[in-house]
Amino acid sequence: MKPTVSVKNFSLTLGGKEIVHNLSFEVKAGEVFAFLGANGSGKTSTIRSLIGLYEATSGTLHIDGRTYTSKDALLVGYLPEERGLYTRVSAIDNLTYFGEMKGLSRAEARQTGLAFLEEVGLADKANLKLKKLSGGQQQKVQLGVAVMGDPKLLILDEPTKGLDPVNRKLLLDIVEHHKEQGAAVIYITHLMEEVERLADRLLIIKDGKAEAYGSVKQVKKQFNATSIEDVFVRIYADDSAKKGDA
Amino acid sequence: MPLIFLFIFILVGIAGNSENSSFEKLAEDLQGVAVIDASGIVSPEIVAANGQTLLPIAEYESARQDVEAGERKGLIYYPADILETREYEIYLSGVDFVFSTSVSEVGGALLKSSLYAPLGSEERITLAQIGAEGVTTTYANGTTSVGFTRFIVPGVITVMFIIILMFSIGYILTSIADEKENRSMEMALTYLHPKTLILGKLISVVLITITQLVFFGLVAAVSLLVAINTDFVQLPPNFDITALPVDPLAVIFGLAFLVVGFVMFAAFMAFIAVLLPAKQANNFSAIFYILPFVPTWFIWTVLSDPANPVVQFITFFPVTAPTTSLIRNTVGNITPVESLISLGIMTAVALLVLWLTIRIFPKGALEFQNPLSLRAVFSKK
Repeated sequence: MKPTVSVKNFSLTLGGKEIVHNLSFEVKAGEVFAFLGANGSGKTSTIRSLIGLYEATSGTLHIDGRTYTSKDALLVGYLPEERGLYTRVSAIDNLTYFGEMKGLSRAEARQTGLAFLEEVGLADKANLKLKKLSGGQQQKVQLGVAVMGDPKLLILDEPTKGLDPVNRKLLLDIVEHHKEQGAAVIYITHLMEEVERLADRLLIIKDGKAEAYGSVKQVKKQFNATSIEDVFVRIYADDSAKKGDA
Repeated sequence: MPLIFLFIFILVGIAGNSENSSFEKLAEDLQGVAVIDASGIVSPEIVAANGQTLLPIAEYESARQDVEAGERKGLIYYPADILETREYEIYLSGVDFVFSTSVSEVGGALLKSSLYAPLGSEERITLAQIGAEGVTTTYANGTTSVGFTRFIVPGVITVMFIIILMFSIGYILTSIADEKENRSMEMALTYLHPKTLILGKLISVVLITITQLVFFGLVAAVSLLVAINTDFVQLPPNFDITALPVDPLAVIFGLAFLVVGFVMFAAFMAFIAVLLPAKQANNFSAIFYILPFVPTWFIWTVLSDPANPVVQFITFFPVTAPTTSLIRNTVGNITPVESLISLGIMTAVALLVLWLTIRIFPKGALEFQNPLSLRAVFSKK
C-alpha cells in the first residue's frame, strides 16, 4: 500500500545554512510515526516543507502521492508547537473559521466543532473568547482544528504541552482513535513515555540528518537500548560530552 | 452616569441665571461711562442713543480724576489727532475683565458707527460693513466655463483618498502583523495559498474603507445640511448644489488615482508586515503616512507651476504620486498624458510589490523575531 507520506532525499537550506540534509522516510496510514530530535534539529523545518510552507532545496515530499498544496487542505490536520488561534474570538468560531478554511461548509464546520468540544468537555465554553480559556483548554481547541474533517494525515507538534495528566490521556486517546480510523499521524514530542505508548515507528534526527529510523523495537535493538530515551541520549551523548568538556 | 449629567445640567442652569443678573449690572455700569470727543468725529446722537454721557472737552482732566478717585466708572477720550495716531484713550475704575472688555467694545463701536453715519442709508452702512460677494464668470475657449465649482467633485475624490490613507491602509499591516505575532498565520498558510490570504485581506480592507467613506460622507452631508439651514454656512449666490459641473475625464482619472494609489499603499503595508517583525513593521510604516503628504510642502508650486522639476518628480515618484496627481487633477493642471504615466508607474509598482509580498509571504509570516534578509527576499527558494 502506498504510504501516506513519502519524503525522499530531502534537503533544505535557509538563509545560507543547511537545515536538513538528505532526509528520507515514509509514514503509513494507520500508524503513529514519532519524529524526534533536539530543539533546532530540523523537525519543524521538515514539517513546514512537507505542508508547503518552505520550498525544498532538493528531494521530494509527498502527501498521498503528490506535493501538498492548499487545495488538499482537507487531507492534513496540523497542530503547530506554538498555539495559533484568534484569542479574541470564541472557541466555536475559531473551529468554524478554520473548518471553512479547510473546505468544509459553515454548517458542517460548526457541527463538527461543537461535537469535538462536547467530546473534550468544553461544550459549556464554546462561546467564550479563547483568551478566557486556560492554556490547556486552548490546546484542546487547537487540536480540534487539526482533526476537523477527519484528515488522512495528522501532524501534531508537542500536542500535550501544557496539559495536565487527565487531559493528556484524553488527547492521546483522541490520537489513537484517529489512528484506528486509518489516519497517518506524525507525532513530535520530547516526552519519551508518549513515544513508548503511541509510536509504531520513529525517526530521530540530529543536525538535520537521520540518526535512527524504523519501528520502535528495531531502533531499540539497533542501539542495544531498553528504551527510546536511552537511544535518544546515546545519539546526543557526544554533544553532551563536548559541552561537559567545555 | 445619568446622575452626573443631571448635576452638570443643574450647574449650567444656575450659571445661566447668574449670567443674566450680571448682564444687567454691566449695562448699568456702562451707562456710568463718560465720553469726551476732541476729534470731532463721534456723533453726540449716537453717544446718547447708546446710553453714555457726552462731556465737554474742558472737563477732560476732572473727569479723569473722578475715575481715578473711583467716583466715575469710566471715561472714553477720543483725542484730536486720532486720524494720525489711530488710538483713543480709556480710563477705568477698578479691575474687572468683563467691564474692561465691554468698555473697549463700546469705544470702538461708537467710533465706527459715527464714521458710518454720514453714509446715510442703512443699506449703504451694511454694504460698507460687510462688503459684497463677487460673482465670477470665467471664459475658456470662447465659451463660458463653470469656474471653480468644477474643482468640487475631483476635490472630494482627493479628500476621500486622504481619509483612506489616514484611516484604512493601516488595517492590512495590523492584521498581518497581529496574525504573525499570535502565530495564527502558520495555521492559515497550511490551508490557504498566500495569494488567497493577501487578496482576502485586500478585499476586506476595501469593504472597511467603503463603510468608512459612507459613514464620513453621511456625517459630512448631514452637518452641511444643518449648517446651511441654520445659516451657519452661507453658500454663494447662484450656487446650485444639485447642478455641480462634472468633468468626466477629471473624475475618471481621480477615481483611477484613488484606486491604484490605495492598492499600491496597501501592497506596501502588506510587504512591510511580512518582511519585518510586528513592532518594527509598525514603526517603519510611519514613512507611508508621511511621504504621501510631501506634496503639501510644495503646495503653491504644485498649484501654480506644474512644469517645475520638483513637481514633475513628485508626480511620478511612486510614494508621492497619488496625492500629487490628485491635487493636480483637482485644479486641472495635469495633462492626460501625465496622468496616464503616473497611473502606469503606480500600477507597475503596486503589482511588483504585491508579487514580492506573495513570494516572501510563507518565509516572512513564519519569521517572528527577525526581519527577513534581502537574500531570503530575492532567493529563488
